[in-house]
Amino acid sequence: MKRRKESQFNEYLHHINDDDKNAVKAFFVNFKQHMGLPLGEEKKLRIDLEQALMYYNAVGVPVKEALRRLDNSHLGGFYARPPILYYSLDDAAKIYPISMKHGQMTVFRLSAILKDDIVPALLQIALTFTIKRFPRFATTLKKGFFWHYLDANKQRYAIEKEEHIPCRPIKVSSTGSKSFRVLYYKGRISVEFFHTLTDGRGGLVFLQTLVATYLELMGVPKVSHPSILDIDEVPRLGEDANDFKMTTATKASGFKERKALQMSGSIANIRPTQILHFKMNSGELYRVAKSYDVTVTAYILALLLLASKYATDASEGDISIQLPVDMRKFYPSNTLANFALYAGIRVNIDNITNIEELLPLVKEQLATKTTHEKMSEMAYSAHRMNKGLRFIPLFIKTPVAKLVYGLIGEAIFTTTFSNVGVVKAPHHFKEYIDSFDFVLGPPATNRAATTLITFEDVSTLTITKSTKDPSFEEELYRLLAKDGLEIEIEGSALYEHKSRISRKKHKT
Amino acid sequence: MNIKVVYPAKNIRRDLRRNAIYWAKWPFLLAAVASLTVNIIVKGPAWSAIVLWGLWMVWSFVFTPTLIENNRTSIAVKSSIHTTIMVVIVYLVFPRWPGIEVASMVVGAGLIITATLFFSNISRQKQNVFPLIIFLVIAIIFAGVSLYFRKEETLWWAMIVAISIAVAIFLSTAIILRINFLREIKKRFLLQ
Repeated sequence: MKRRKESQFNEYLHHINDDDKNAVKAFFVNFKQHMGLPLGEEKKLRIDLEQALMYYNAVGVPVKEALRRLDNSHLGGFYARPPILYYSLDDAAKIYPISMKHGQMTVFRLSAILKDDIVPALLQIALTFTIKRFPRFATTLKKGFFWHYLDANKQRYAIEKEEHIPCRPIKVSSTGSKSFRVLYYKGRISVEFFHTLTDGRGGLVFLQTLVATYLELMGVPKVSHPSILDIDEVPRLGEDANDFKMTTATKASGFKERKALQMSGSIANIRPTQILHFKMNSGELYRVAKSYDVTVTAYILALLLLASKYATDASEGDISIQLPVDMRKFYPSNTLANFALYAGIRVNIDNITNIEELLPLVKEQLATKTTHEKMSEMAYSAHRMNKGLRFIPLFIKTPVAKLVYGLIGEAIFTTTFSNVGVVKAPHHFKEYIDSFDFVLGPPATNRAATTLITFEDVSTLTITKSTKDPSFEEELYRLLAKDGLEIEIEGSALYEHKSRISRKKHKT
Repeated sequence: MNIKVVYPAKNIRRDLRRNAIYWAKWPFLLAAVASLTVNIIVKGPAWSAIVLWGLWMVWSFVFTPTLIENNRTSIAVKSSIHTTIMVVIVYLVFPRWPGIEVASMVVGAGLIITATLFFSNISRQKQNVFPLIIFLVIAIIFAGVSLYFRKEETLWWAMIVAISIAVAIFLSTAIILRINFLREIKKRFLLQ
């Protein structure tokens, strides 16, 4: 007689008492009621729940408590209803799918570094519960006649073990492909987003909600906080809005800029070449910035200008830093779509001498270029431009946009500095989370991109490199250390696999 | 600078497509320029148009496939339209054969293949109906115009066949998808 191999879950069922067994069976009957997915997807979700139950059993969580944590009510009607929603892209997002190329896509990554290693079975459940609160993220990118749009996509959204290079392009071409990925590695939970889906702020809301759900599954009591969405709540009005329409400006500003100097060093074929996190004490960083009578953003910008000058062989021209500005600080908005634009901090290389002389220039530019009025004008320009182009079919817009973006694109900036600011999180987060980090995808023309994010007393300055040349980060490190900041450097090894293409094509 | 490595051991996938695009573009450009030059030098029919379109077909299918919505329906539609254009170009260059009628037959065959691929997995493919609709519209216009100008030709029925297939598929799709059909049209024509 052929012996039937018992599944691990059946083994688990045999080891629990009858009451618990009945409770588990009732749980799965109830689970079935919440499902309207194709059978293959439903089976995967069921296996996820089984694995979570087995994990709880292994760590000694009583069955009733495990079932309470995994309560099917968290699935809501999301997986039971057909996918009928769709979302137009916001004004900032429209350029990303149009300008993307093979191997080149605007991806960014937000991570939370937890004190303990991640339990994949529970992270998977956390994602299953969280995604339903973010219907705009549970979508696949589609091509319309005039614009791309996001089309609802009901499926099991799977977590992935981190094994590859960070911020690699996300495959969005096949049926049901998603525009983000959730990764885990040791104690780190990372979410990589295609920028067309959201911006840093929206991404952070998603990550924090995911982490909060994960912690709840780990047994941490639920705490409500404005920066975390309640996964059982219905999405609020305006979360998928294109808030560029809200801008009050009636005057448009241009996007036209002169080309900026680029740092030296060949652009590698494998990008990013390296990710570096400079971890500093946030209080100390604030104190140093205050000692110069500037904000942390202005201080770091000045250092980036100095480091950029150090990293280039050019002697004439401007060094320009792209500074994303969150429009939510000017307009009340709870959108999870993109609502950020940028200002360009531009200084002639001759005027970049030392921090004392540089800071007043940076301060002045920050004061004039990131005002409500200036940013509103830019938002109005973006909105007006998209409105003007709306009747042109996508198959005409795409090649033109590719050409224009290819000609200008990143060339008007030397680098980017994106400061997400202080992560506002529930008080108990600090007991479980060490720090957050924010990684921009590898630039195609610029040699580096930088970000800053602060959680509790850790500020993480991240550099994404597109060249092997270490001048930029070494100078930045030296400048920070000179001001008395203690820096702990974490990061990746050098991602190297240089082919002849990179040596030939990207010579400076 | 001492770096504490906190990322997994590098697992770098060679970007074969990017490398292929980089290396293949030069032979392709060379072939295009060479065929055009030789054609101009030797004069005669513009056969280089066939070469150029052939090169473009290989380039767009093999090296640079669509980055968004590259599914079985859209690939079938793209292949059918490209093949039809090739037939029309061949006919324009060497006109002594019923090229337009053959092109209409290709359209009909393409419609059958696309519809088969679409309906064989309709639960998943229903979100990809738009390329099929576009193809149906193009097919009806193409076959209609061809019929108007070539109704005296022996193979005029090829156009009628193509139109009939297109109308049949259009109606079947609309009936099967019902409200989803209209919803699909609505979202594909978003203006914002």
